[in-house]
Amino acid sequence: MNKKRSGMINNVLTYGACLIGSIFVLVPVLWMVSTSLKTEPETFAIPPRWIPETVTLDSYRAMWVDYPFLYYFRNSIIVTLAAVAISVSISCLTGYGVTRFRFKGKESFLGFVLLTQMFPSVMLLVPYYKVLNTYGLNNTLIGLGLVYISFTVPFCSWMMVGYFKTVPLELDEAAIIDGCSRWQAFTRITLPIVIPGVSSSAIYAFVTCWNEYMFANLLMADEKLKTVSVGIAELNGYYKIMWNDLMASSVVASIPLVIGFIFLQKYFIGGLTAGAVKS
Amino acid sequence: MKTKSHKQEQFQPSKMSLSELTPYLFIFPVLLLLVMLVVYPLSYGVYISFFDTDLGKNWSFAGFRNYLVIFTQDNFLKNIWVTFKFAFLVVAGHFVIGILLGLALNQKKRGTTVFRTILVLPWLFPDVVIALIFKWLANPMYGLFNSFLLEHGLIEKQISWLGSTQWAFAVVVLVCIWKGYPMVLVNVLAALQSVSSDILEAARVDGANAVQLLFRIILPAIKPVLATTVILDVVWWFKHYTIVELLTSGGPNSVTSIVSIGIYKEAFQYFKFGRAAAMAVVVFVICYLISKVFRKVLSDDE
Amino acid sequence: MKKKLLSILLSASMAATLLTGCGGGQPAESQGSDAAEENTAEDDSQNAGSAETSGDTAEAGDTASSDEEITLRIMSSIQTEGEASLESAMAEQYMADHPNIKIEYIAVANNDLNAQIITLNSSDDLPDAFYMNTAFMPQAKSMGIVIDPTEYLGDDFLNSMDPSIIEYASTDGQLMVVPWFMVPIALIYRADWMGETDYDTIETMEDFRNVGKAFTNGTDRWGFALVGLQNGSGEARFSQYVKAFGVDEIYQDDSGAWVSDLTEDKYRTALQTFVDLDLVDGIVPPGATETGYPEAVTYFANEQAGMIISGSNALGAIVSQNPELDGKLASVPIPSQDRHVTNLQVSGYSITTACEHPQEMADFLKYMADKENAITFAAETGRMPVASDALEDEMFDTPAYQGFVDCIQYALPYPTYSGYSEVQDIMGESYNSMLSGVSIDDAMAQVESRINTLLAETTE
Repeated sequence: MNKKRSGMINNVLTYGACLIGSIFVLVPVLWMVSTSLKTEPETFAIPPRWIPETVTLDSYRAMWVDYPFLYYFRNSIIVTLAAVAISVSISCLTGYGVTRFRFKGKESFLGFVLLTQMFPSVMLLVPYYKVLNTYGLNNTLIGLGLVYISFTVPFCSWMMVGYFKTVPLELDEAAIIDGCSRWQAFTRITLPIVIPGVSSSAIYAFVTCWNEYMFANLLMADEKLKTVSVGIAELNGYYKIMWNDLMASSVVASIPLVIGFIFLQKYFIGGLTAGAVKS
Repeated sequence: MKTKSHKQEQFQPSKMSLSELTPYLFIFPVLLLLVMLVVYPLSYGVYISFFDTDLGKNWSFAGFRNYLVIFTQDNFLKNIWVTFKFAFLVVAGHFVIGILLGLALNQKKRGTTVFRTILVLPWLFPDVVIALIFKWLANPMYGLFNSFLLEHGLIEKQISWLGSTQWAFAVVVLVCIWKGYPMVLVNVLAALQSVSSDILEAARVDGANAVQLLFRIILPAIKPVLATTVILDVVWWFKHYTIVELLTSGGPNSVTSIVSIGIYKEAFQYFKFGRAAAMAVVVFVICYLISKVFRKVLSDDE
Repeated sequence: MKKKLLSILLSASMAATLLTGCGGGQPAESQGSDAAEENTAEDDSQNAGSAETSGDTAEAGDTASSDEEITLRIMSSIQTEGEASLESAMAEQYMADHPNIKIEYIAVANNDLNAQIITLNSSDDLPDAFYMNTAFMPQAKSMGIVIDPTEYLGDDFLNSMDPSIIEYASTDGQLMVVPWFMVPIALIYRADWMGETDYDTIETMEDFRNVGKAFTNGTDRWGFALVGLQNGSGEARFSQYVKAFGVDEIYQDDSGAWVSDLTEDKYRTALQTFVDLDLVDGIVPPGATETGYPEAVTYFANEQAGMIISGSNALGAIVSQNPELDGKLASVPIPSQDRHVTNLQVSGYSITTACEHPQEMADFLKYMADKENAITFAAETGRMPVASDALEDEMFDTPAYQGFVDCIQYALPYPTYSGYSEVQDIMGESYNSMLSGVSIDDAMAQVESRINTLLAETTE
């Protein structure tokens, strides 16, 4: 009976927290959706209306017709997917290498990886541009992709170091005794256990790259190479904010992220036992 | 742990030289990329802090003058202090909310998938959009916040949330918590997967209550992952710019003037790049020290 | 310790190689020569000329033959605004008339424009022309990235506009911008509300306050949409307000030293009366310190505020938010305490030192400013023509434009002081902090301390 009651309390707490959290999240988000369905004059109506008097999909049409969001999406998808894939892969290598071996310079290396996150990015705009210019990669998707990898790799590497740490070393050792090579021990034994970490790092990298604005804006001069976040930010004009268009494009731009999240979350929500190691 | 890897080396004495190289092969891609892309920008940032320059043709050596100037301005020191408060509160908020919701959502219950997706939404929108939305929701004249509070008689007259020294800082912090907690939530959820349910069950049988479970078993188990998250979360929000700039531009009466706004003004409004770089270097050093402290405190005690 | 030292040395040496590598700017140069190969030999000599002195380019530019393919790269913040299609249409038309010219726009949001130009310049990668923000002019001048286009424009063009406009477009005697349009600052008010009051004009600051009080009912109607946010937009408006009190923010005295009126009593008075509009007179909608320009325009468009200090482009913005206000707007020059003032905010494109075809670029920029184009542009955007004959068009003979036309005679030269945006920020801090409750003494002490530091640095 005690157990039942604590289960009840647990239920109330869980759903209570989720519900309150959801309300706080949904009010602004639904307001975005509502704004995106309004005509321009109605975005300024007083008092503000949740349900627009005239519901229109004009803004959703405009982003494809009046603004080149088709290009923006193509570019964002290419750059983000490539950057996420590469960033997460090389971070896994790093995580494994750092936790499974002792080697000279390990601590300095880890420190160095983190250092790159600590300089205010405003002051990095100019030198980043110069570096890419030296490589001839300005105004290319490859250049932007590389920059994004350099942004996401520090966090992903450190996360993967953390996750690999939770896997007992005995597992690799046993595998190697059984005749696996080092690489096989990594890919077949250890990596599958840290899949939750891989997917949460991937989500982080995905969100970071998709929403990055400052560097995409600086590095991509060509209208056809701009990314979604730049396209969205340009709707926040200096003289005028295109509220409905801005919200419509933000809502649409978040859809790939939502899909990505739903797809990736199943890898780290397998219930408590799925990924756990019994040691 | 250390003795174990020694043992492991003993397994293949013949491959000694290769196995010495192996770890470097694993870290090589990351190292190469960062050296190629990041070393120069960081060095450049430090380099220009010793010059008065327009970053074009005019460079004149300034020695430590830029540092001297920023430390004698009370504005800069005040901004640093505001930034400390800001980053601390924002990160604390992220972790309290992120961990609580993470624990709640880690259960196999009806509807948790839907809640998970909803609760992660704030993370998925660009900073610009979040800032603009909240700026209008908090608008004193016809923002939803005021109209809701007025309607229900909770306040008597309109409150200028972002315009009064009393509220602005708190509102800015809340918006930044709102935006950033899902990152912690997602990482907590992922980290919780490595907590063995056997250990939890065993502890429960031993009569541990929920709070004990949390502090004795769960948090220590996810510490390696949380340590990284906390370090970088602090560093990121210490350097944050966009949301605060769009919400208040550092006002009213500088209560929200975090240091990045000052750096941006110094660089791209006043065009004093040397001085801006000096500020950036100071921020860099502070972030470095913060991370050092956290790494010390959170390091494995094995 | 050794390890650490080693890794630091390693990184440092890497950095050093990169530093020198970038300093040479090889890739940029090789790109440049690639492009040059396609051109004629004549053009190569032109390249060399432009690299040495900008004066040489004049002759070289004239010799460009009309069938030569020329691409003009223009960095534009207009391209990110609602006016993009108007600008593009002009470029399309021009390209149709001049088949050998290709115009490419690089769209950059106005807030990022200065940063972008500085970054591109650091890699010798400037476009042929860029949209010049007035506040950036002194910096652009000292960086030496903009040519004086006078000789390419010709006397006819330059004589077609008021000399004060040329002065605005210049810094220390160098024409920095090819004037395209201007956005003078004046006071816009609701003519229909004015009819309901006992007043019939706003001439002085006292009139301004009184009308503001008459407009205000304290619940849903206020007199003046004050921009109290501490940013460039708010500061530009406040700047005109204090100038009307006789304040000169920064100027050179007879000995040539920079001095400021901000520490004087007239600034103190101006500042006090400005914040009192909100704190004492109560004619400002709630939340002044968080009100930026977009919010202020919205208050006005939503009939919650009856006056706004703004450039002429606000007319268009207001009517597009609330079409019912068409015909109900009027404008007057900024009310005078000591004098009438305005900032013409002459805007346009600057031709960079990297431009290989300044003559063609200047021709295109002249085309954008010609009478017909300018009037069309003004009708859509509220940005007024610079040519005197275009200003005589009947569309400016309306109450809405009256103040903007009248105020042109009161234009004060824009300070050429290189730290002017910092001076503005000092003013911004003073009104923003006072609006949030700081006393006049404390605010003035802060102004004094900051301005003195700034001036001391300048004389160094």
